[in-house]
Amino acid sequence: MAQIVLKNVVAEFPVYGSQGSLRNALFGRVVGGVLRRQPDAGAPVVVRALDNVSLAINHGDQLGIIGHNGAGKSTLLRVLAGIYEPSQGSVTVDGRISPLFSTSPGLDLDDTGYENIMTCGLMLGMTAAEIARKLPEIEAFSELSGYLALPARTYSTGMLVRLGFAIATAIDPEILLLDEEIGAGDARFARHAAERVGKLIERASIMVFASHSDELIRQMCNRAILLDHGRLIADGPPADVLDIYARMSKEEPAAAQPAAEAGVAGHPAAASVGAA
Amino acid sequence: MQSTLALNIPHRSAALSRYRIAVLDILSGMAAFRIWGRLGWRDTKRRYRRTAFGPFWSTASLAIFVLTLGLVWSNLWDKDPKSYLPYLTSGMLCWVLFSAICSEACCSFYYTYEQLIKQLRISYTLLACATVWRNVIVFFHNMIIYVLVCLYAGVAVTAATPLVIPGFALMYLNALWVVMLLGAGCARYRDLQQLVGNLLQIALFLTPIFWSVDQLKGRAAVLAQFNPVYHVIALVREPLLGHAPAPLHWIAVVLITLAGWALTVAMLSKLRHRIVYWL
Repeated sequence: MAQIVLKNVVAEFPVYGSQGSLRNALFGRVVGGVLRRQPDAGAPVVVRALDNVSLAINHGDQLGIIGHNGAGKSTLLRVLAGIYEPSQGSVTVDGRISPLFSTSPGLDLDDTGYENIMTCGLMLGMTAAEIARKLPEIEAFSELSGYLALPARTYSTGMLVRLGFAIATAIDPEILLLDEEIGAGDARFARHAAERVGKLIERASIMVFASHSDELIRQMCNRAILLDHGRLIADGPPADVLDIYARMSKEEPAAAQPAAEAGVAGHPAAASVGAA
Repeated sequence: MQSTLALNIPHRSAALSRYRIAVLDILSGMAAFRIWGRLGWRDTKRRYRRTAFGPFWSTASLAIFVLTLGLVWSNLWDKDPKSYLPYLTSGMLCWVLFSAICSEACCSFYYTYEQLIKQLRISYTLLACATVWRNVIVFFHNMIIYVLVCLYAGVAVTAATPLVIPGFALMYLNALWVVMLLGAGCARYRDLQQLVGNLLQIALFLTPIFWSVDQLKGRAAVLAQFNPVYHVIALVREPLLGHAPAPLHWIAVVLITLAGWALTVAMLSKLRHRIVYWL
């Protein structure tokens, strides 16, 4: 059975080439950088994107991640995918991960639609035989027909989205990680897309989905967590967690800064709802 | 769905140390030839789309360069063009391959494949393979020049000629670790790219490509032996010219290969998980 366990995960991003401390920045501004003393030659500024996150995700969980911009949703997804290894703590993954952060990894605008299906399919982990077998279904869903033989450069943005979507949802995931970029094309496509994503999720053992859309979270998830400035502050049924989020948003509008190293802005932390 | 290990390297755990992940990165990356073959081929296509001659444009300019230089210098040094031209051509072909790989290696992680690295837990060796393959494709296009020069100069195919295959294989293996180290190094220290560019310029003259080692006298001849690029190129150039490479070249290149890969495994073990933070 697939499972993911995070223990005390801290993810810190060094920002190379930054000015360093606030004092230097101010000083530099006042004296125009000419008289500035030796700047702090030392560690670069560090952005703490995830702060002590502990979480267990089990088979059957369709987990939604919600939070403000900069709360750490995408970072958490990428830590789960193993792209960013945490600087502290551990991530234990049991099962095969299928990250869908961009629907078309390896897309080349000069290649034809068919060639891109093969490239993106390979990058998403399918074998050539599998892609050949699923080609009719991908063609049908993307609704691009004749355009597939033309270079992707000739496609509109909506068409590119449909193509990427068709390929990405043809995979057979075990642990599916979705970032909120499953933007849709027009309204009719959005409906088809929702159905297809639904079927995709059914094939998966675990799904983790980061989104700003309350609607999508309610529709697709059976559990939700709330991140704020890198901290996990709520975990429970989607409806409850969304309520906490809504209340939090009303209390302190536009709290959208990522947590910098000195002085993480505190929030009146919401009590953690009992984990489902 | 089959899991392509190179695209989904397992997480670090109690059972899987950083060292093992490094080895896995290397082996799975090299094994995923379908993917790096496609990436490399596609990058080549992209560079030459909608042009009439494709990669043969660079071949043409290289041919003109080699021809002109070959004729002028064989005259300058009183050498027979029929022996100098093949020597120069085969040397230049190898050099162009090596220098292009070094330059592209520098920006391979932080620029060329930055998006891929941030979307998938991908093997860095796979990306290195794609970079090398892309340049090897151009190398094979350029080989046309050498074939024509051989026809003109009457260079015979001897029993030693098939030795070019293992020679080339060793060159390929070395190119891979160079790309890994340069790619990671330049991702962290962007200055390294400038340094590499400068070093390549002078290395072209310090390596026996325009001149041959027997033209050197005394200590210089001994010093030239310490140039690693000389030995790697010699392993490919000598068989192409029809003679077997001296044992010294084989020994030197095998040592370089082992040392280079040992360094790469050490680097990957310690720093693989940090590379994405440098991008």
